[in-house]
Amino acid sequence: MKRTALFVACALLGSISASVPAEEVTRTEVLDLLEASLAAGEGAPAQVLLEQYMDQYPRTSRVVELEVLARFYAGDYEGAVDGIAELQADPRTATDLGELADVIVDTYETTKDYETFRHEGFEVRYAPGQDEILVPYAVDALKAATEALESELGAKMVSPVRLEIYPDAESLARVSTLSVEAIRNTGTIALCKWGRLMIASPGALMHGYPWLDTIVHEYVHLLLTKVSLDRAPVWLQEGLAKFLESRWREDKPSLGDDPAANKLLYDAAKADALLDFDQLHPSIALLPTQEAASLAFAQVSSFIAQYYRDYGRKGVQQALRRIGDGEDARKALARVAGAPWKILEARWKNDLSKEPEPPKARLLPRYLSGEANEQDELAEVELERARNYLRLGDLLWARSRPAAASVEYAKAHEAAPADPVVASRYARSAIAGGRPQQAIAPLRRTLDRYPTHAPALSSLATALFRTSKLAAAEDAANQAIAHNPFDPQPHCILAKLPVPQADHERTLCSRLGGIRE
Amino acid sequence: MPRGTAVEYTITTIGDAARVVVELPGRHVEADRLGEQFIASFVADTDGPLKIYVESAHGERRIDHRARSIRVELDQPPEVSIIAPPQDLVVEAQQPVSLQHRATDDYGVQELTLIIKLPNGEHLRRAILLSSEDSKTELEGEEVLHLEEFSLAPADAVTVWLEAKDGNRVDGPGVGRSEMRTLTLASEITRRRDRIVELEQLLDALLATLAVRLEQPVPKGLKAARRRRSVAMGPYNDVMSLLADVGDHRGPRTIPLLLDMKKRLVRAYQREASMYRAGAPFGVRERHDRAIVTELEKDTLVVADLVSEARLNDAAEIAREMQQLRREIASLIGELRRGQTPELERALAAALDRAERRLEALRQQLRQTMRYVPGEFVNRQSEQASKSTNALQSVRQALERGDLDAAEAALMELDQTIDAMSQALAQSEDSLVEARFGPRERALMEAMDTIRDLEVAQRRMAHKARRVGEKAVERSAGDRKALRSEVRRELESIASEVSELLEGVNEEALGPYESSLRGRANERLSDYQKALQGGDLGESLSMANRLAHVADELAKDLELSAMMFGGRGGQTADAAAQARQAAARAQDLRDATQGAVPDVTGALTERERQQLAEQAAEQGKAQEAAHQLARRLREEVGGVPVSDDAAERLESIEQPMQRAERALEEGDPLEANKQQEAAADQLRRLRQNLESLRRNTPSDGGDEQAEGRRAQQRVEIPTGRSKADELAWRRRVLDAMNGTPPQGYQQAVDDYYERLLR
Repeated sequence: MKRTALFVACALLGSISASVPAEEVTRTEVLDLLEASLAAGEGAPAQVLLEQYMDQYPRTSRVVELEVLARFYAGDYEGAVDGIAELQADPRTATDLGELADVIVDTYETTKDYETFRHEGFEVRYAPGQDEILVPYAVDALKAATEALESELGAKMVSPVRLEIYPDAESLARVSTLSVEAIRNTGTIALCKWGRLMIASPGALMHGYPWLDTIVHEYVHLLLTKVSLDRAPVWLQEGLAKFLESRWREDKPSLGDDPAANKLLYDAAKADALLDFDQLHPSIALLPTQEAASLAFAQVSSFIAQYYRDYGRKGVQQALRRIGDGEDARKALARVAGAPWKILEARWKNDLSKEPEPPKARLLPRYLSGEANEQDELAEVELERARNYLRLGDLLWARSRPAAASVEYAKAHEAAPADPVVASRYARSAIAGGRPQQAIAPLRRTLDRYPTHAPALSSLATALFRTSKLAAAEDAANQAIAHNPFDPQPHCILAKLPVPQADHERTLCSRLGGIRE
Repeated sequence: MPRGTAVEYTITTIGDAARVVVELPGRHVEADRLGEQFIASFVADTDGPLKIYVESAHGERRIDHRARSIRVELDQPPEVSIIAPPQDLVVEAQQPVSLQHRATDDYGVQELTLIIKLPNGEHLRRAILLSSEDSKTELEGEEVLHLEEFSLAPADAVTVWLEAKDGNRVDGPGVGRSEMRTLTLASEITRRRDRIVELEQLLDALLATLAVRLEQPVPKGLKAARRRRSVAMGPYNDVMSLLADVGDHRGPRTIPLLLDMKKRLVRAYQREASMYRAGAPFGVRERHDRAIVTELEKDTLVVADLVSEARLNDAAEIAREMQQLRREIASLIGELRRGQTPELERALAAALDRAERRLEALRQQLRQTMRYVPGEFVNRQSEQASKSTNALQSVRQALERGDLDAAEAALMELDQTIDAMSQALAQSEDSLVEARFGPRERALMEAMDTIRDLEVAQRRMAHKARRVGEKAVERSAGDRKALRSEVRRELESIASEVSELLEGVNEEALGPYESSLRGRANERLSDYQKALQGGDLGESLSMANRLAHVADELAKDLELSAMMFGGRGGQTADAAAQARQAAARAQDLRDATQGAVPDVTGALTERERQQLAEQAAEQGKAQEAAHQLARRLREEVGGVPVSDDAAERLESIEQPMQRAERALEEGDPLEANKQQEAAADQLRRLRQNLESLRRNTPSDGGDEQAEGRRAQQRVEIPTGRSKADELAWRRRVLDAMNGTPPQGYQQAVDDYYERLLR
């Protein structure tokens, strides 16, 4: 793209109201601008440009193609599908859409019956049914993120921010270019592409996942796409997205505390088995395993955290601008830092080698709903003795013998005190047996190592509530909802607390089946 | 009053009345005059007030204001019930089912029909009481059903119920229905299901037993502890009654594991019982309780694993049945191409119905399996089961459209999904078995190899000892022929006397048991004579011993009978005296044979003594190896001992081994040989038992493959036994009898061997 056009494009992307007089740009420049707008993930300006263009110029097949893309980016899937049909109706027309045409049609088919919720600059689409309950939490997170990310990245979207929530991994696979296999292997449950955020509903996974942070993670990608005109390499995007994903709920960005990922990083650094940043291309979702994906995230986010610490948000913003201008990401970061890339990388690796060994924690697999059950979790418990006691506890629990089950769970917990599955079930039985106090310490220990273990968060909220630690219970319940909003327990706890949304939580509590423990 | 009742309402007026009208809900009825009274006739059909209007001859009208009303009761339909069978049944193919019924109605039952719902949804109606017959207010009877008349496939079920109509002509006949009974055709499928149910019941009972102990810790006081124990005994007894008959479970593991489990539990509970009887202190009681809890925990996990295996196995079997059904459907479609007949269409519809039902059963089984095993074992299969259902649906739809090409194409797809499912299920079963039972299975296989090695070694040692013994016998006999003929004559003569004496025992005085004893005595005598002819003095002595024992038993029994019942003309007493003589002479025969056995030990050369000493050391090592193996079999692998039962049997085999070692040390090669042969035989039996349990596996490829395997097996044609073989065989059986049978089974084992030798 020519520099002048780019300048205009950037101006236009900055504010839709600052429209460019048509006579000032040539026909080609308008199309270039339009493409730049799409590359930046901005569907709305692209549509405006297209309308301006079509007022003056003929509707060629290239224009129809751009129209399809603009509509697709703007969320008008039906219109996009009509355009594809128009293109396909003329056999002489060669289109550049390729497989994207299929994705567009699949997206339309998948989402045509979805509900849409619009609020301020946000649009949430979801399958009718239980995913409805996600909407208010998602919008709150997006609103908080908009402000925080604008300050971190110096950018905000002109187009409405559209979030689509798919009920299962299959739907996510259909609307993206990911396969279910890749989703299963890496545990990828969200992506940002074609100007929108796409996540699988937390209901698609057995115990949910940190879905609110994930939405914000994808939001960071959307903004980075815009800031860098989609030129930032995957490793940089992922590093920044991971680093900033919790910024919406914190005053400063920080590396999330993930002992399992830290352990992977520590071990890989020790064994000189760190991944090359370029190995992450074209997507972390295409790495072979969940372990490789976690290591990749841990690497790039720790690099970014160090860069941010050394050069601040301004440094990051400057580097992104340079990348948007076409500079190589490594060179851009180095230029801003005033040090060669090799030095930056060596400094990061050196710091990694000085890190103390994190506590031992295993990577918890993400199971797709319906593909796993409590038995699968049980199989993950490493110590056979603990596994056997846990099985016995489960068998007794299922036969309504909670007191006996509790004895077996206690034995399992004694054998494997650090195991999150064991601790959660032990806690569950202790709470059911009227001994919530006994559940708190094991749960806290578990969450220190496995902060995203939703059953532990839920049980902790219950145990804290039962022991009248109401502020802590509220915090734990909110965290639990941020991981598995379909568990009625945290909603039921919040419903009993003096919080503004108590009535709403009460409705959700009863809708999801009521209090359990 | 019941609806439809014909009412005659009599009205007596005060004063002169010309006309009386009765007002009913929605109508008026004019009453007829009958003398001084009026009678209104109507049929009661609606609830409501009843008013009486009286009109005098002067046209003056009066209303009787007293509140009157008619309340109509609706007629209840007939009550009909199935008295027998009291619940759903699984019925063997040829087994008639007696359906006993009872029907009652106040109007009278006008019609009674038995309705049979077939698996394809068709309803058959069989009249028990026809409308043309007289109605009955009470009706009892019996109908006999034969399931074979409905052309059911394995595991198909019919649902039956009764419908009774009454003779209500007002509202139309009331219809009453009985409860339903499902009669399922017994087959391998239902038996598989039953076995799973049995295992699940056992699992529930074990968990209940465990829960009772976990829920209440052992109290400190003895009295309270006894109370707790007595509570804990309830569920334990349930477990024991379920383990009392482990049935016909398939698979190489289930029965041995359950039998071992039973043995261990009984032992643990017996120990606890004796400890409670002795009033053991708290610490000891607590320790024993922990041991029982540990045992129950192990057993529970084993049974849970067996349930998972049985469920996966059942799913795999259903998938194999589906393959057979698919072939059947394909063949029917092929025939349909050649010509469409109603029979063919019906057969095809029935096959499709059956396939659908089996697929549903498969999906249900997979859902159930997920309760016990990780999703990785069943997820893929569940997906394939859904695909199969879709493919089957496509076949049906194509057939409905008459598109046979599309039906065949869908059938191909069905074939692929079923094939993939079968493979995946087999793989899951293997993985599960490997994960849960693999180490134990391998330990057992290793043990079987060791037992086979021990058996071979034991036979080799027996052979060596025998050769040494034979040489020594030859030497000690010196002038063999002279001695043999002299000895033989004497022994033969005594044997012949015994034979005559036994023959002389009056048959009529013998009861069945005595007859059997005399039969056994004659058998032993015959064995004795054969051994003597073969020149086998050792065998002869053994037979003489047995003969003396049986003859003595016969004499004792008859003597006892004679004391109690003299019999006709002292018949029993005579027979007892005769038997006593036979017994005395049989003892003479034993003593004489004993005296004829040469002094083998004394005839051994120095080199032979040395050989025997070396063999004794070798025998000692074999016994130690058996001992170590028994110990290893008792060790826990995968949570439970490899095989308590095999360990026990090995320990009992150590006894003849020890005796053989002692005999070798004492320079008695014949006795050593006898004990070694006994040990080898017992090892063989143990090995064969373990092998047969392993062979008790479900076929991998359904009946067809099993047939295939049978077709490839070499058929062994039995040949006549030579005399030497016969003798050797008899000797082995008799030696095997030296092994210690389990407690309480001595007589059964003796009888078994006796029957073998007869």
